[in-house]
Amino acid sequence: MKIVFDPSRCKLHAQCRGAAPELFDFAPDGSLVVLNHNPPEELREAAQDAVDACPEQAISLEE
Amino acid sequence: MANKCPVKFENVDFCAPSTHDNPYEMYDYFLEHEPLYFDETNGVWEVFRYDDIVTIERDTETFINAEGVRPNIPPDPGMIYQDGEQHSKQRALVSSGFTPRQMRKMEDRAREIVIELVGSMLQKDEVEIVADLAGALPARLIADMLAIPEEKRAAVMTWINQIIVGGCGPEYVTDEVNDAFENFCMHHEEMYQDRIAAGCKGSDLLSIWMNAEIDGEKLDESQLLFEHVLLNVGGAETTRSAIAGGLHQLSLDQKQYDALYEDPSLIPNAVEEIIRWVCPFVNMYRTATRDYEMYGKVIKEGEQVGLTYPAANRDPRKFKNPHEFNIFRDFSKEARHLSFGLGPHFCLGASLARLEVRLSLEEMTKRVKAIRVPEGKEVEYVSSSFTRGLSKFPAVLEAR
Ligand code: HEM
Repeated sequence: MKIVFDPSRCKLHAQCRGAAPELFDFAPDGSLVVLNHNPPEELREAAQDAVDACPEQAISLEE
Repeated sequence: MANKCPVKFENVDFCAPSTHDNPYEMYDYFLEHEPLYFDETNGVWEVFRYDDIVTIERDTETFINAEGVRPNIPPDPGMIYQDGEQHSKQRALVSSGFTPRQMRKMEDRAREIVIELVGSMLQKDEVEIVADLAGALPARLIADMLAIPEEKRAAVMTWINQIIVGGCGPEYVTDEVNDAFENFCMHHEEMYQDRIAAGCKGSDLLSIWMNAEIDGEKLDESQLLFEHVLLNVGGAETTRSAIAGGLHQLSLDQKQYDALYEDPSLIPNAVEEIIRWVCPFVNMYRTATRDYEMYGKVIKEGEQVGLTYPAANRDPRKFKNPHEFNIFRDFSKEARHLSFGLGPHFCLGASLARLEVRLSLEEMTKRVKAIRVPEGKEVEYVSSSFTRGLSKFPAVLEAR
């Protein structure tokens, strides 16, 4: 599984980081970053929650 | 009160609790005419517009939490007073306990509690929705997450409700607030010692904090204490206000209430509208790390600025008929409410709060046909410059 994140769509709502703190966080400059682009299978649900939570549809999953 | 004045609001003391009683005419004035206001009484700035709050919350280099989030009140070691990496690390210790995943695991247990509370209300001729449901549910869930002993739960809630009053400003940190804080500290110490004695093996949040390490170091005693306080302060009265305020708005509009019964899939959107409408926190403050110009004025380095969330939630630049309570509101076309804040400090408990409001609406609409305030009685409001919501909601429930 691969997390595809489009920073140009990101408006920093940070819903992804609420849904999946293992996978998303703020960088020191205040932007949101993906902590792990290829997360293990047990984080699939977390990743899907983040995709669903993003109001800007900036995140997607690829197999 | 000042807000009878139809034209101009001057010399407003934003820390005075009564300033925020029926505040929407005043907020409308500032939204339109003075979007950045310097409150001379307290020496703090206030902003109101949606876009301004978003700009400030996102600019975490210019606007920091480390100097305090309440007006003229110094910071403590809790996560809300941290910035940057320290904040991320401190928050990460417990954030996995509050994800939507974790909430799905808690849902059945939370629903059982709601069913029980609604069931007991239906046994009574008259109920008080704040105490019987809206306050009881969040208090129970937080107490469960912290594993607070049954017999201490009521007292803890009383102290927390007192401590919150002190968030209005330094002059509101009265003897009662200090006493409540002392009591909470003793309670914390007891819980701490109990866990030490039990080998700290529990899965409750306090045990998690006690076992946690940041860069190889354990949290010190005051960090533990203030995270513990913050969780109680953050999660109890706010969610109570949302549940009680939401049910009250719905009780005034039978059509919207019935719509939720007929189509429960509308409930999640109704939850967002309720949280927008009630907006349980009046504000959080930030401190400028440099001079910052806005609307031709300068917020000077070291000065605080208050983010007036309930004003932003009624900003007509974003929301259609902002003063209308409308469970059908299309947030994707308008804007998302700011009741949970934004950016790195976005409410940790948002998924929990949403779950609690949703379950309350689901179970109430299922079993109760109508809610009305009994003749001769009225709802009562909290008067505060920190929190908003109902303190009493006397009601008669008509069972289905
Ligand atoms: C409807 C109910 C609630 C509302 C409206 C609310 C609102 C807020 C707001 C406005 C903030 C500050 C955000 C910012 O500065 O941008 C916040 C932070 C926080 N909330 Fe909530 N809250 C609610 C429920 C809860 C619950 C149920 C809990 C936990 C049990 C909780 C725990 C916290 C914590 C720990 C923080 C600090 C987070 C940080 O600094 O990273 N809240 N909340």
